[in-house]
This record gives sequence, structure tokens and C-alpha cells, in this order.
Amino acid sequence: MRTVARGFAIALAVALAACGGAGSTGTTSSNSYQGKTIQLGAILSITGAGGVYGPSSQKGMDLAVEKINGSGGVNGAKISLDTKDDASDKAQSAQVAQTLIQQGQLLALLGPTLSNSAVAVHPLAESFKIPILAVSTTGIHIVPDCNFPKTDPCKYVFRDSLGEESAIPTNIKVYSDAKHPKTGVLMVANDDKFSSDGGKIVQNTVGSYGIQLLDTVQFSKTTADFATPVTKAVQKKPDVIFITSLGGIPAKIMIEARKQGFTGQFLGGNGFNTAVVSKQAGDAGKGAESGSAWYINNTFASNAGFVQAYRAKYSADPDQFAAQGYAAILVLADAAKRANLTFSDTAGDRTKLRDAMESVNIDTPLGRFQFTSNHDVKQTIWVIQMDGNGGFTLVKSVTPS
Amino acid sequence: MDFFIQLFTDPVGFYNQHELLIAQIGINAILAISIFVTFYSGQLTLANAGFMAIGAYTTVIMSLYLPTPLPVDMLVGALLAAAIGFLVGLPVLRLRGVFLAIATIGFVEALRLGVILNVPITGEGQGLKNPSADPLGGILPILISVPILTYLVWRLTHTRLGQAWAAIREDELAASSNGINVPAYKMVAFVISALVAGYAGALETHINFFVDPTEYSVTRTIQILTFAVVGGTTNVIGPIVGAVFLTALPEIVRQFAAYRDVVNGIILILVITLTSSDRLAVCTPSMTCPWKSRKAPSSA
Repeated sequence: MRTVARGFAIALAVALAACGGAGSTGTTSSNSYQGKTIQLGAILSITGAGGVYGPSSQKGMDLAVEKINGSGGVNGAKISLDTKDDASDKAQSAQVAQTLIQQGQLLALLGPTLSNSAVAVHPLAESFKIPILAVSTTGIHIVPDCNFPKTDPCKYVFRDSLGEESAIPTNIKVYSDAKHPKTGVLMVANDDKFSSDGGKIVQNTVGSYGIQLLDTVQFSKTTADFATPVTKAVQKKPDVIFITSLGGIPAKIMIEARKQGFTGQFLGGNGFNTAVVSKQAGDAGKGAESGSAWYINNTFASNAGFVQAYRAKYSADPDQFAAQGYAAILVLADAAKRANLTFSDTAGDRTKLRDAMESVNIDTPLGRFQFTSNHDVKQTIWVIQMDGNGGFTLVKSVTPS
Repeated sequence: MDFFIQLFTDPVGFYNQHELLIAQIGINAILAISIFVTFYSGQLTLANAGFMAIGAYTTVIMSLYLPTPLPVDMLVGALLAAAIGFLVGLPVLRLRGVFLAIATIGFVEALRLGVILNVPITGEGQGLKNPSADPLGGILPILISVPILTYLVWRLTHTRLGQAWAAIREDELAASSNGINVPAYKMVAFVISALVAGYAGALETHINFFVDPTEYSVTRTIQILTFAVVGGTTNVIGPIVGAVFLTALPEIVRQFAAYRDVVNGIILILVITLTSSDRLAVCTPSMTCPWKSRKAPSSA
């Protein structure tokens, strides 16, 4: 009787182990993952100028790690995420990246938050041959030419954040097709890479849609009072004011412009796409449009589940940066699942992970997610507008060709 | 605490993991030497970030457009900073104390907002990528430069030139009465300071991949000033110690996470209030300094 019971127990254990393996992996490599840890590092701007965005990214990533580990991990391996604050400082960002890369067994990095920091961190990651996934950097020369002006593509740098080169032109096209504006004024913070990149993109795009750029008003991102630059823009009586700037500046400009009687349209980029900016702009921002990587009210399962879990954990609505952070962990987990990691050869595992990242094709809160051959995000662009109450409504979705 | 434990128990591992931090400490030490030279000669000048920008941009632009080797680019960057330092010094060094400080801050902002952000060759707000950057390879020249510059400036303070600077610092009128050519000696200090700052800027581009105008703002100027305020200015080691301490501090307190800035600030306040009073020795009896007027009533 005892022998029969022991045999039954062994058979049950084997069956359960087999079910567990097949259920969580779908591959034959699960045994090497069991009990192991996939170590990831994130460099985010929790404080400083990027502090509007970094904490959201961190919350999204933490939620994804919790969800994956809570449902059995990646083929049985747990994800460990070590997040470091770079204080929105390029030098600190590079220092933190170097420390993270060289201190342990990290398989991949995420971040940094700001494009200004990415120009220092991404080439470093490339030189160390460690995959790095940008989660909020939207400027020019992030992928594939992280070593610009050198033209050879960076093999280890990926981006899951929608670049301004995609978001801004799509937004302008959607608005032009609907409203046919004739004139515009560009307001751009000229002492910041993200903003300057956005300004160049606007200047290069408007002509294609028959919009005459009446003026480009430049200002410093440290400007406290926007009355003067806004006056310069408003007195041109444009149909559209384009704003490319970070943090709370777009909201300040919108409030000042409405105060000065501007009744036209505001168009912008990723700088608009957080609830913080929408709340700050309030009624003045109502109708302001931007191209976004994500829309909160999308009802497809991968987004609805994310929004629900985020609300349950943080008692607040997520924003685009949280969604991109969450998606980044899903992307890395999917790649790790298929990469046949050894957990003994870190350099080899990093290359395997990089190779697997190129073929990611999963559902995320951003929609169906793939990388282009240039390692940039290939996803639907959600053109959204501020609702005047701190939220956004969907104008149109544009699927990549 | 982990920072110190690793530093003392695994110095090789510490070095490997913190090369860029050590390199940044070296750059800031060179900037501290730069501001020491002008402070030692009794001048409250705050143009270092501007001269740094000239050195940095010149090096990167030459790397982008000329086939010259990197050391030549860096040398030209430093020399150009010194030359512009001379031109700026002609009108500016007529001023003293806080007026001189304000004028030199004005130079930094004029350079950043007026030139860098408006001349296409600088990349304007988008900045410039340095094609010859080598962050980990760039640490060696920095580590070599710091002791050499420290020694040279320390030696300089013990020559006739250094004694003249000290005399001007203690009492400009008395120094002039004793036959010291005050404007000339001040100009020499200002140009040397510009040369060293330009060299620091050129070196920094080698570890940072990128130059952009946000790095050379008043914030950077204040940071350099803080090295001298914390470390003291009676000898060249003081500002260097200030630079090492302040650059490493954010890493030392990293374990405090969200409270890092608060702890950072508290430590800074404690250091400034509790350590010796030789800092800001640059504010001499002959100068108009805001903090001096606060002390005056107690001595009256």
C-alpha cells in the first residue's frame, strides 16, 4: 500500500512539474530557468526635471515585475529589478549605468528617462554589449544611431517609447486632415535636446500639410513667466500653436495663451502626454492634441487588465510613461522566455536576450508590440486630446504601415 | 555605507564599478583648481562654466570637422578659452567683489543663450555628439592631469607671482602702493583660471559623449563655487577636497532613495556650518562682499 502511495505521489509530482513547465514556458528550456533570477537594472529620473515622468515609469515596471513573478515568473525564473535615480543629470545617469553594468549579473538595462541622458548611457551600454531598452526617450538619434554621427547601427539599443519623429508628424497630419489649418507658430524650449528635437520635427513637417509657420518663438526651459513669449506667438494670430517642451511648461503656455485671448488649437508631442500636464493646463488645455503611445480608455484586454491592476495597486490612474514601463518589462520577459538563457554565461545571455528581443511580438497596454528592424517601437499611434479635467479623450488611432 | 564598505574592502571592484564617478570627480577637481586661482588672487569670478563650454565645444567641433588628433583638439580648446578669458578680462576685471561675480555670471549666460543657442555649428539646443568620446579610456588623462595641475598651481602660489596674488587678495590698495601691478597680476590669474577650466571642459567631452548647453549654465557655475565654499580657499587642496566630497556625496547617500536630496542637503549644511572658517577667504577687507557686512556689526 505504501509503495503504491509513493508511486502515485511520484507520478503526481512528475505530472505537476510537467504541467507547470509546459504552462509557463511552452519551451523545452524551462529547467535551466527554475529557481534562477533574471536581473534587470533601470536608470530613471525619479528626482529633478524628469521627475514628472520617472516615477510613473518605475510604478509601471514594478507592477509588471510583481505580476510576472506572482504568476510563476519567466519559465520559473524570478525577475529582479534594481532601479536607480539619476536625478535627471546626464553625468549621474552614465555613472549609475556603469555601476549597474559592472557590479553584477544584469541581463539588461531600462531607461534612462530623458533623451539628454540617453545620449550618454546608450553608447555606454552598446560598448559593454548589454541590451538596453529605452522606455521614455523620444528624441532623435536614440535608435538605431545611438553613436551618431557615426552611422553604424547600435545593436544593443532598443526603444519602446514612441519617438517624436513618429508622434508629431502623425498628430499634425490627423489635425490637418480634419481642420485644414493655414498658419501656425512654434513655441520651443531651445536649451533642451528633447524640446529642440521636437521643434525641428515640427519645422520639417508643417510644410507638407500646407501650414505656414509664421514664427518660431524660442524660450529657455527655466523661464518663469511666459507672458512675453506667448504674446509674441499670439499676436501673429495663428490657427495653431505648436508647443515642444518638457514638464509643466506646455500647461503654463496654454494658460497664458488663453488668458491673452488665443482661441486656436494647441498641438504638441510627448510632453503633453501625462495627466500631470493635463491637470495643470485644466480648462485652458481642453482640446490640445498630441500623438501618444497609449490611451487609457482602450478596452483591449492587455490594456484593461493593466489599468485595473495599476488602479488597484496605486489608487490612481496610470499614464503613458507607466504603460511604457510596464510594457518594457513584458517585452524583456517575453524575450528572456525564448532566449534559452544559461544563467552562467552573462555575456552570452545578454547577446541571446538581445537576439530574442528582435522578434518580440506580444500584446501590451500599448497595443500589439513589435520592434522595427531599427529597434524602434512599431505600434499604433493614439492621437489624443486633453479633456479639460486632467484626462484625455481619443481623437483617432493610426496603425503603422 | 555600501559605498565605503566596498571602497575599503574591494578597492579594485570599487574602481571598476565607479570609473565614471571617479572621472567626474577628477573633472570637478580640475574645475576647483580653476576657481582657486582667481579666488587666491582675490577675485570673485564665476565665469568658469563659460570657459569650460569654450573648451568643450571647440574640442568636439574640431573632432567633427578636422582630422586633427584629440590631444591637439583639447589643447586648442583650452588655449581658446584662455584667449577669450583675456578679452573678457579686459573690461570685467575693472570690477570687484559681487559686481565682478555678477559680470562673470553675465558672461556665462551671454555665451550660452547668445552664442551656443544661436550658432548652428554648436548644434544649438540639440547639442553635439563627440565622435571621439571614450568614457573609460578618458579616465587616464584625467587621473594624470589632476595631480600635475595641483602641483603646478601649488608651486605657483609659492612663487613671486603667487605672493603678489596673495598680497592683492589681502589688501589690493596696499599691494598697489608697494609697486605690484595689480591689473596685470589679476589678468594673469583670470587667464590661467580660464585655461584650466577650458581644459576641464575638453576633458569632460571625452567621457560624456555629448555637449549641450544645459551643462554650462549658472547651475554649473554655482556648483563650482560650492567646491570652494565647502573646501576653503587658503590653499589649492581645499577646493579639490570640496569637489571630491560634493561629487561623491550623491552616490554616498544613494541608499536614502527618495530622501537622498534631503540627506544631501543636511550634510552640506552641517559641513559648511561646522568646519573651519577659512572658506571665502577671498572676501578680504578691501572687497565688498554681502556676507562681510553681516560680520561687521559684531566686530564694531
